[in-house]
Amino acid sequence: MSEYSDKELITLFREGGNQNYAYNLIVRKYQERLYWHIRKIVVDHDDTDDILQNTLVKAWQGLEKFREDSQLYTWLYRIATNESLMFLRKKRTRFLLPIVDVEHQLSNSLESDSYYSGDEIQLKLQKALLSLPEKQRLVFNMKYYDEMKYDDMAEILDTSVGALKASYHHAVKKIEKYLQES
Amino acid sequence: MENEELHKIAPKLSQIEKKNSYEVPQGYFDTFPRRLQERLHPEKELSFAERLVIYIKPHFALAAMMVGVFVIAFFAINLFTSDNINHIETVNTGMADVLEYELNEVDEISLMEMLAAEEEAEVVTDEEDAYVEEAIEYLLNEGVSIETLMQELEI
Repeated sequence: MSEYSDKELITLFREGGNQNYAYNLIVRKYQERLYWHIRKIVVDHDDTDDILQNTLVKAWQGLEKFREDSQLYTWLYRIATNESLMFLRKKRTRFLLPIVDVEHQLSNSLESDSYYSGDEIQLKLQKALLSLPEKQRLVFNMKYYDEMKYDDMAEILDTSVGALKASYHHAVKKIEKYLQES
Repeated sequence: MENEELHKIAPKLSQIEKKNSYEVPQGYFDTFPRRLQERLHPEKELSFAERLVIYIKPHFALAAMMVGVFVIAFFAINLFTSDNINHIETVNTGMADVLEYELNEVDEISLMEMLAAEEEAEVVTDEEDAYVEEAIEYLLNEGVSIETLMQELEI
């Protein structure tokens, strides 16, 4: 099956009687990319599954009013990012104590995660990533792993390209430092 | 940031293979769209009354079946017991009525005469039998053959 473009999918969605079909095509096209984006933020598979579902439910609810002044995929990424960050904030407030570092907890749980297969150096890199501030970690993942354009990242994170470049640079330096010291 | 530039500012990081070490359960992406659809379009939630009907339906059916069995059993027992008893009682009552009627219609003297006549008839029959035996004996003594005798008597 040839893959529909985002524009074609939106047009199909808006045609009468094709909503479910078009939505399913959108889900199948983006589920993996969104999953890995969320997974790198929240680490745990079950949490990722919940957030991915919430993301796509919100997309279903908002697709009717979706304005095509942004791309479909950046819109979906934006929802997924917001849902993931909201999840981490909720997790932080659940602990009540500000000294409890959720990222530190995620880093420890990574070693016992049955759905993680990285070797020692990969694990070290993930721990270095989890030591970064939330926004720098986000920017690093999107640039380094997803190889996303700064323009698209700016649209998703609602930040300027310059600020994103700076964040990425800081993130790389911190990771390098972590790797050298550990 | 190009790889060359990354190598300059982060030599250790640039040596690490860029790969995704996270995994998902087998078939996760195949089943995800269906699970999502189930969440988006859950089955219609039933009202309290509908749920109550679904819950009591089997119990109600069982109770109805028991009632049916008892009704059938009741009629069956009635059919094979009380009706027969009534029938037998009716027959018995009929015979009693006939006897009572006969006793009322026939007086005692007539009854005695009837019994005496019956006894007399029995005596006559005995006398006839004795006469026939005597006659057979006499004829045999007189030389009449048994075959002839049997033909005459049509035995």
